[in-house]
Amino acid sequence: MLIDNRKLGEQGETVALNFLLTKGYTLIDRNYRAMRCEIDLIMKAPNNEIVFVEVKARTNQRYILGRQAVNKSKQLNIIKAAEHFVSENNCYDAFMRFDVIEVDMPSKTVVHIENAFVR
Amino acid sequence: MLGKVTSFGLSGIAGCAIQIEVDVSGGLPSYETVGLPDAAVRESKERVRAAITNSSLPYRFGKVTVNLAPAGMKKVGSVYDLPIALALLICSGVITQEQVDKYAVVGELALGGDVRPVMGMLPMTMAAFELGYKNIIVPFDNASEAAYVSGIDVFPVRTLNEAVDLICCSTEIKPYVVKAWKPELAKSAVDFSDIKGQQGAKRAAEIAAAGGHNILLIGAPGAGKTMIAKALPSILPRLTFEEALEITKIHSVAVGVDYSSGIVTQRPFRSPHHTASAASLVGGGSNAVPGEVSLAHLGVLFLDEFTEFDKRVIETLRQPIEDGVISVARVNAKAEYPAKIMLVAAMNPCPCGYFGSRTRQCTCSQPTIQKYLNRISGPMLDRIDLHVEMSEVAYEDLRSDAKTETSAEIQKRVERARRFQAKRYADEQRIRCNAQLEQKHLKKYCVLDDVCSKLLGKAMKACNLTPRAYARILKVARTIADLECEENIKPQHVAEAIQYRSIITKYWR
Repeated sequence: MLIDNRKLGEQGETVALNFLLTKGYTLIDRNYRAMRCEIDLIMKAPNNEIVFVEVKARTNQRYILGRQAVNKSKQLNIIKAAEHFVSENNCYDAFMRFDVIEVDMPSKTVVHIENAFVR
Repeated sequence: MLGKVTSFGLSGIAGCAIQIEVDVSGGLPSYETVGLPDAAVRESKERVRAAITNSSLPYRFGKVTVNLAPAGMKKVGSVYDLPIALALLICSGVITQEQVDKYAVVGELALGGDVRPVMGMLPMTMAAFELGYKNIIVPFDNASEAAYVSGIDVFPVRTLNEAVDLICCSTEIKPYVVKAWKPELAKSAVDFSDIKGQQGAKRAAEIAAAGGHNILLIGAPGAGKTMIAKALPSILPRLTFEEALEITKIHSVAVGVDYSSGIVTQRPFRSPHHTASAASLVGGGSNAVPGEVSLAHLGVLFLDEFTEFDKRVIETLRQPIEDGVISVARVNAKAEYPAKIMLVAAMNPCPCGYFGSRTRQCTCSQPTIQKYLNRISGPMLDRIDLHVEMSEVAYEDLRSDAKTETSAEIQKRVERARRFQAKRYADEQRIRCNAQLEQKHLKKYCVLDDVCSKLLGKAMKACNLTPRAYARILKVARTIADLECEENIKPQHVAEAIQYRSIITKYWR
């Protein structure tokens, strides 16, 4: 079961990555880990914004939507990792944003929420 | 990117300019409000964002910092929503800084982008005018209130989009013009012609209204004390425009003003329940908000069941009654509010209510009566100019169809007396009626001839009157003379004025 979920997440991330690449984004880092937190995708948007993406894959949306699963504590985790990334790469002044991408499996339909949350 | 918008806030009942600065820069996206905001100002974050996106305008994400200057002053309320939104729109390039600089902006936002009315519009607009602003953008519902300030153009907006269109000059909006101000006679539930008998009390009420004097009605239950008090607004003189503005300033901050008229048109009549706290009566709370005495400014403060009020609460009224102004000081806020009121108090003479009654036997013991009456202190009684005893109305009077004077007839006499006073005090600033005369004015305006001064001297000794009572008797005598349009105070005027002081010796000893 656990293995299956992990596989599902990886598949979802790949779908999301391909989706963003076709939209003109470029990949900076994947599964960036810092301070025991993780960011699924770090991308550079066509307008040069750095985008931290959390991908949520779902096989059915009956219980809870992917975007709802990114709750406050999850947001704080992502923000913590993002802060680490910023100081590591010394890019304090760049415009940045936090996005959430919801992937429905196996249909592979994608919902992209820009600026899903702020610090 | 930086956007700046001038807005206005309140300190007490005075408006003060607040600079709204919004900076959007790179970095992890965040939204921070600084400059001592209270909870309502901090929550504007959500309203502003929703209003901008729901108005189909671009919202600028990034590291957003909102600063409210001067940073040392506490910012209260929701008036800064619209200016913050406009400053953000400067950052996203929808409008330019130069376009906004012409305007002062005030308004609360709804999530859908509608602009909601705010409290305290009049003082804020006045402050904007005094600081030299030529144009102010206000919520549509507040337009008529703001437009009473002449010399500044008021632009009412219904939605955020309207404000943006106005600033971009894409639509031609004419400044709001109010209809000419017209004072109204207060509509009271009771007309003086409805009150049977009680000629003495009616006369006293007329004198009180004509000079703005304080009055105490004392009598058995059901004698008509409350009725007289309730009918009082109908004989008060109509407001002048300056008075209306003064009252509106206080009401606008504390309770809000009727949107359609925008300004107070009748003298206020406030009747707080006797469970009222000291702070609710004289003003207070952490923000030092005005209390009932200030809300009754230039009108009537009616305290029914005067003895049932907490003694400490009644005593707090001493200073405002004497000075006509109250300064409320709290740790976080200090404010001075005008409180020129006409105090009308009604009470029973004893716990059972029938002490001194002609029809029923009082069942209270002498000490009980004294204890009851002592709830009203000497200093407080001293500040009330007219003491009126009211006994029960006889059955024949109640049934009689004899025509009595209507409020409108009495009101005409009261206004004539007020005009007479206004002419006399034309050179004095801040004095509008006899009750407002200060010590230094008495020698000039309340001159007594030999007969009068002898009469008053005798009464002073007989009733043990204080110097304050002396001054107040002079003022009442002046008013009685004014009702007859007499330039000089005559002995009969003094005698009548003394008579309104005499019942004190019957009850209090």
